[in-house]
Amino acid sequence: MGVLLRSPIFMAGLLLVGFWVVVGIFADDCVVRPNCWVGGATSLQSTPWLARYSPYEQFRGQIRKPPSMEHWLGTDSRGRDIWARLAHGARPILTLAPLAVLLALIVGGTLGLIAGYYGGLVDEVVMRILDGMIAFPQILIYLVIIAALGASAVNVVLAITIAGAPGIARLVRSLALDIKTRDYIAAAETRGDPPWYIMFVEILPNARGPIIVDAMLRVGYAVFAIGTLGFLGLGLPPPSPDWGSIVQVGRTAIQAGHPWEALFGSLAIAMLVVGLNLIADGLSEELQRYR
Amino acid sequence: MPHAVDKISMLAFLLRRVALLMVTLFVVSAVIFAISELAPGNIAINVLGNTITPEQEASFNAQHGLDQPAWDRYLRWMIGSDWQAARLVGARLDRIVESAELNRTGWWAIADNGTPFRHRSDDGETMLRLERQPDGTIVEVPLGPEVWQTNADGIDIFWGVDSGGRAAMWVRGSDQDSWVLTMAGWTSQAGAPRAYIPLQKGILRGDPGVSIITKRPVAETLVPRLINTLFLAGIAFLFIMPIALAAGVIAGLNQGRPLDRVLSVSSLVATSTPEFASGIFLILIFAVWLGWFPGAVVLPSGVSIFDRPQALVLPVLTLTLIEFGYILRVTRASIVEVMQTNYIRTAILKGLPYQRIVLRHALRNALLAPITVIMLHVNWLIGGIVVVEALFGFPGLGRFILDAALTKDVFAIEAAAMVLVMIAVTTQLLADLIYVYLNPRIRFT
Repeated sequence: MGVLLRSPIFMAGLLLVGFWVVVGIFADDCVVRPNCWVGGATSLQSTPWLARYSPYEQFRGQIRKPPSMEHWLGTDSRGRDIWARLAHGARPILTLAPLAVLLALIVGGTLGLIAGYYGGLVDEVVMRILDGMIAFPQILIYLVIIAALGASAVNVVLAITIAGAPGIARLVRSLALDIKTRDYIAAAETRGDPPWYIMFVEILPNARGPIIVDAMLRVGYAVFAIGTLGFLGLGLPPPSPDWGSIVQVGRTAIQAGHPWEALFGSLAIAMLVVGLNLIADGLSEELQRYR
Repeated sequence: MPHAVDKISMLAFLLRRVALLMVTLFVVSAVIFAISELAPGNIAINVLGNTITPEQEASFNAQHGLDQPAWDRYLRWMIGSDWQAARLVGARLDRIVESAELNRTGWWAIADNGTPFRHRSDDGETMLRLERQPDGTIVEVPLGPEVWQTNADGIDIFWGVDSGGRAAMWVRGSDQDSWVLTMAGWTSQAGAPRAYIPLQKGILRGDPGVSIITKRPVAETLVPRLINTLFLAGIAFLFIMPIALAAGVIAGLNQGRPLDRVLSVSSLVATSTPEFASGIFLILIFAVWLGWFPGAVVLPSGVSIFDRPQALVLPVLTLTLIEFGYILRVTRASIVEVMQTNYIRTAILKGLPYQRIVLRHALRNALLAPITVIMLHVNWLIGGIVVVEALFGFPGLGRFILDAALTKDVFAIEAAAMVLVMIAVTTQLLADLIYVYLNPRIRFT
């Protein structure tokens, strides 16, 4: 861990991501009111901390204003404070992206372990199906799933899980193929450990390094994907403060001389994805050096 | 004879891959059909608005075959319905060009003497046969009552072709109304058919069907969009490849030095910034601030993208940014690896000039990995293209599929998905072939 803290790439990434994590948590006093954790709607009655206003409050006569002392990043097309919307928008994106990756890890990891450990026909069938899914452009998976099931947080997570699981399965399988030839697996088999124990207790922990780096990269992709879906009009339904849709709405006002909404929305998402990628890059570099 | 064996194994490899492509296309099309079937939402309401009456909705669904079971419609999409309908109508059915200038085609029954004809009934009693003359005019011929055929239930029915590209079943004495939304509003027509079979040739014969939303053949819209997108992607690729490969080689040769650091970090930033964000930055800088290039692709009808090359600059640049970093990083890693191999060390120790070592010895091997990896990256590029086309209003395949998905236009989604999967699988096959060609140690498996 100490090595990581000295890696400038890792620290830069941590700073960028940490900024949004802090802003997201402390945008209002939600963190000290447990009843607010479960639903977004209650944040209406919350006391502002880092963001002075509610992301839903519309200010009369303050439509598409440039940054000022009142509204640090200006106001959007409905007179809402852009900073408040970005700060609150950090919450869904920072919870949904890791959640989607976690689900994809569970699904893909299990499939990969099974395929890699059992091998033979099981491996052949599972991997052919997953190869077919990898051959499929991810954007098509997103479009078809979300367009069919409707835009909601659950469906966004579902789509990203489905699109991400095959890649994880492939990685875990290749690691499992390697690890199962080790002596300690043979030892476990000799003492009669059940297959699930060997897969999840013997193989999985020993494959954690590459899986963690890969998962970190995937959180970046997931944020990327959530932003893109929002931009395409397939993200969280309005009036949720979704970064992608903030850019989508703001884009139409650029030519009219009101670039603030689109600019700050783009900056926010770029900061977060770049930060996550820097962290993953720093991690993998240190991991390689460690080897 | 190692050569002959190679050729046979390559042929087997190709055949297996083509078969796999067919299976993939079949599975993908079935899955998409199933998902859009399960999806909530009502196409009739999507198309006609939510003020329609139940009769209007039922009539719409019948006219578009939506009242038939899903597997029936899937089969029709796949193998067509004209041969089925031809048996009922008792004549050959074909799609003929009605107007070459307007690029309009329509389904007609073809008589034995080659005259195209359709049917109509204004009262549900007398059937009219509309014969199309070679000059395009229509002659109406009333048919006698003997054309009605009594079916098993004792009802008099008549199968013919109507004017909407459908085989239709009229029922004698029926007071059925059909509802059609025209420019003037809803019109109801008496003596309408009871059942319809929308005519199509099926995707296996190259006909992806007619869009329910636009009422135009899908292929007609899809092909120009595909050409636009291939043009955009082609330019982007031509632009990206040399620069990114060169930058990657430079970064790799300077591994660990400040130049490498700068290139690596900036490429990481460029790749990880979502296309819509980097596109916004580019629009703000080059379109709003500097005013050099248009920030959107606006094409009045009749003007093709080839007439407005300056509108392509920002879309291409956006795609470049995202792909540039990726290619650079792959190339850099590959160069770093090759420069550490023994044969390069030998070349250095022999005292060959550094430039010669890089150009003659290292490059060929180092570029092997990037070229194939880049081909595999085409799936990613497709995602980028959808976003870039949405951002700049570029009339391409990406926006076509986005619009189709948003309006749940099943045939359009299916057609675009088939094209995308075909592109993705073909490039992967190409990547495999190039890899084997460049690296003969790998055999076809």
